[in-house]
Amino acid sequence: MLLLHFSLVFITVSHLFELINWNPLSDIIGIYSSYSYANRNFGFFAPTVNEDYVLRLKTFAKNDTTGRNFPLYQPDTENKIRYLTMLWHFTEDNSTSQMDLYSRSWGLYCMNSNSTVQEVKISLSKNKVPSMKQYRAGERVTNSLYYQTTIYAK
Amino acid sequence: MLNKLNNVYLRVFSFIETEKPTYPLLFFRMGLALICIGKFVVLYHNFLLFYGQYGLIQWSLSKVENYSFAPHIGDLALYLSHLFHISVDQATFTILTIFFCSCGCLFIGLFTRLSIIICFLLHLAFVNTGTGIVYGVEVFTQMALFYALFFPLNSTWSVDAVIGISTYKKSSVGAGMAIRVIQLQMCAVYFSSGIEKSLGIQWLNGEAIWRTFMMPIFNNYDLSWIAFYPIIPILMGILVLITEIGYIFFMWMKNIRVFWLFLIVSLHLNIGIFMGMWFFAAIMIFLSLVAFGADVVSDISDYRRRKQNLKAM
Repeated sequence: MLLLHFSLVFITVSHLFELINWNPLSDIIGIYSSYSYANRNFGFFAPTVNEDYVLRLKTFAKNDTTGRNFPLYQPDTENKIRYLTMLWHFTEDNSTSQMDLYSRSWGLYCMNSNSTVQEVKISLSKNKVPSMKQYRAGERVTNSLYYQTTIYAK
Repeated sequence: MLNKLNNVYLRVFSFIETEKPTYPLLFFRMGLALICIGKFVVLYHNFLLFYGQYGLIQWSLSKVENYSFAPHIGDLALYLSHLFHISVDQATFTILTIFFCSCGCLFIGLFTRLSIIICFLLHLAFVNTGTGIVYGVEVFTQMALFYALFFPLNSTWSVDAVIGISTYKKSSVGAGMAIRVIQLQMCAVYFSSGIEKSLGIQWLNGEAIWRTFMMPIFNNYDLSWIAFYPIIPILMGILVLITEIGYIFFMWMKNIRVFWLFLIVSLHLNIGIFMGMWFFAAIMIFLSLVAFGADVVSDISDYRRRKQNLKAM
C-alpha cells in the first residue's frame, strides 16, 4: 500500500505522468489526489513568482450613472491571501470562459447582497512589478487593466 | 543476487517498520486539530463570502470544477436544510459547527477514529466548495488529515485511552511507520519544490525574492531599498533553494538535521512575517516538527549526554 501510495506521489511530483501521457493513469492520479492531496505539484511560486492582481467591483442601481465601489472582504491578512488565490485561479490558463464564469459569480454575489443593484462593472487589473534593474533606473510598480466586463440584472 | 535483493528488502522493511515513541502523534493530533479550528475561526466573519451558496464562487460553479462524487458543502447543506427546515445558510453554519466539534474531539482524543473521519470528509468538502480560494495551507491540511485516517492517533495520551476505547502505548511500530510516512512525504514536497524553483531564473537572480517583497498585496514592509543591494535577494533565493533541495539529504543526517530544521523553520517564519501567510507557515513548520522533531530532540539530548560524559572524564 505504502509503495503504491509513494509511487503515485513520485509520478506526480516528478511530472512523470505528463511523459507517460496515458489517460487511465492520469485519471487514477487525479482521483487519488482529489482525496489524499499527497500527490500534488508542490512547486509554490515555482519556477516564477505569480502576478499580483486587483479586483474592483462597481455597482449601479437603476438610473445610477456614478456607481458605488463594492467592498468584497474585510482586509485581514488571511482573507487577502485567499482573495489573491481566487484571482490567480481566475487568470489561470488565461481562459476567457473561466473568467466569464467567475465574473458572473461575482456579479450575482453583489446583486444578492443588495437587491437594488442592476448592473455590476467588474475590472481586474494587474500590478506589474519592475525588475531590480528597472527599479534602479526609476521604474515603479504600474497597474494595467487585465479584464473588464459588466453584468446586468435580467 | 537473490541474497542481495533480500538484504535490500530487509533493510527497507526495517527502515519503515521501526518502533518509535508515540508522543509525536499526540503533537500531530493536537496541532492538526488546532490548525483546522484556527483556519476557520479566522475566516468566520467572511465564511459565507467564501463558502456560501451565493458567495464569491457559487456552489454551482465549484461543483462543476470537481469530480461529481467529491464531497461538497452544497450537497450536505441542502440535505440538512430540507431535513430540519432551516435556511441553507443556517445549514452551512451547522456543518461548520459539526466540523469544530469533531476538531475538538480530535484535540482531546475522544472517539478519535470517528472524529478524524468527520474532520477529513468535512474539510475535503470545504476545500471542494472553496475551490477558487484553495492555497497551500488547504493542500497540506487535507494531506495531514488523509494520513491521520491511518495513524494510531488514540494510542498516545487520549480520552479514548482513559475510557478504554484504546490502549496507551509509550512507543509502537505504528507510531514509527506514521512518522516515517510523514518524513518521506515532506522530503518529496521540499525536494520537488526546490527542483521546480531552480528550473526558473527568478530564484537564482534574486528576482523571485524582490518581486515577492514588492507585490502590493504582500507589501507589509518597505523593502524597495534591496534593489540597490541585489546580492541580498540573490543570496536569499539561493538559500531557499539549498534549504529545500537539501532537506531530503540533510534531515537524515544525525546532528546536521538540527541546523536544517532551524533553516526550514526560519524560512517559513519569514514567509509569515513578509507575506502574512501565517497559517501556511504554521502547517509547514508543524509538519516538519512532526516528521523530524523527535529525532532532533534525541540528537540534542545525545549531544548533552556526550558533553556531560566528557566533563565527568
